[in-house]
Amino acid sequence: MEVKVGSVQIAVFNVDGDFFALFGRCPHQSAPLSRGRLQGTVICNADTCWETQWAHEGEVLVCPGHGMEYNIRSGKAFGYDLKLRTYEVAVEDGQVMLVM
Amino acid sequence: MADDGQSVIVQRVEPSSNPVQDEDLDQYGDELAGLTIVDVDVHVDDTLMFMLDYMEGHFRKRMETVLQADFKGEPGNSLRNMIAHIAWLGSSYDKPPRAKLATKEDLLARMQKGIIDYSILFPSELLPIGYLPEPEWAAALAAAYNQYMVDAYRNLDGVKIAIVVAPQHPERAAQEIESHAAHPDVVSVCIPDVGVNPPIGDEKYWPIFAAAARHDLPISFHGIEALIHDNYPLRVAHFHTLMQVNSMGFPFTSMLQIMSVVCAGIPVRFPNLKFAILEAGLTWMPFIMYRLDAAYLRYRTELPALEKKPSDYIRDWYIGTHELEALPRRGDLVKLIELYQGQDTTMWASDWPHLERDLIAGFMRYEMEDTLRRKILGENALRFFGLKPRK
Ligand code: FES
Repeated sequence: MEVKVGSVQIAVFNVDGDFFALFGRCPHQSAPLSRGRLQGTVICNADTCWETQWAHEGEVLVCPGHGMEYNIRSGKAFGYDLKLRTYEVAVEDGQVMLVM
Repeated sequence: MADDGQSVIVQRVEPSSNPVQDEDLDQYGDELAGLTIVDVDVHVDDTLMFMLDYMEGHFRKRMETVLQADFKGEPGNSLRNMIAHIAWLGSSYDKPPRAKLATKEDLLARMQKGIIDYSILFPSELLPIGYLPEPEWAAALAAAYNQYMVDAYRNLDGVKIAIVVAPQHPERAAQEIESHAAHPDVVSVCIPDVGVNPPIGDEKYWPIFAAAARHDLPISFHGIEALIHDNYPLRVAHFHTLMQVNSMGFPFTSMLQIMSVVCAGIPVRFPNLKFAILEAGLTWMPFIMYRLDAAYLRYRTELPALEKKPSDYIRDWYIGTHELEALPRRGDLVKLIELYQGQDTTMWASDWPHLERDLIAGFMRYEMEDTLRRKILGENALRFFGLKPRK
């Protein structure tokens, strides 16, 4: 879902009871990230011995605009030198709160 | 042909102008004094006859055969002319296909003006090496060229050499790098990029990049318009004029090879390896950078090794100014460089003494801050080739 704090849109996700909050607009062309789906992606690096592998299942937020992918935990974009701002989420007495 | 005892008289045509003269430098003597000037694309006479003494066995025999051939008024010792200009022979009339080649003395005379601090020597004859169908023969030519250049041009003040490798024989190419890397006058590995098929990012070529990275030798891609083959990257035989081939051959090849290297993830695998593109002009740089970025949005998962978008890698590539396009306004070059973020990567190159060489006035006519002018005239090249300032 998307929440608005002041003028800032924030995308909030509930993944099996774990909450994640990220800046809600894709830096590419401002698509609303709250409408993105979560899936995995392919990685290929020294850790995988340069083999392509499927990884991060359920932790990759895919922008509904044109498919940029973000790590939902860190906000880091896969394949880009770019990171979305992330927000801490606290749950108290059944209330979900963003720590700003 | 009837044998009437007469032989055909073949006369070698000399160019009507002498491109090895370069009074243009004198004109800017005062303005350039005190600045570091590196000319990153200089050519000396490297016709095949110089390589004969560096070839052995059947390759030497073969070279002797090549040197005896005469071809339409051009001595048979020009691989370049044979490959490049047959289809369009004579089309430029008063500018014969063969540029007057610079001797060692011509080069030294130019250096002795005291304006140019470094000249980086690149091959001429072997620029179409990528087209040669026999890897062993191509590798033998490259080895002979490198040894000739290192013997003939060593220990000259301000003269540095780019060795050439035959990409169709990656193992021999890597060996060439191993054997010359320690030479103090060898500053780069030139990969002539035209005709290289498959494109240079292919995994088969990685031994070349690995060897260059191991020795911290930067890679320079150098183009040529020599494209009569119905082959990658352009089916140029279908164009009716050499002008069209020349205009598109260099930048298209450069764009395709940059795309190939970046998309293969080579900058990720060899993060310290530096790359330059020579003789392709500048204006296409923003196009390839941002065009790739646009497609990368949709196809990133095909290239999972990339950690940044393509333009973030390409902006690290160095680029020689030759053949510098004449932009309409004097402030336009700065705008162009800003677009491809090339303030720290653009390097002045003349292509002296080839016919299409750039006079320095072509660059000086553009307005820019002194700091940027200094970077382009020399500082960027010092960093790329790992050279110490001489002034
Ligand atoms: S708006 Fe997110 S990828 Fe284009």
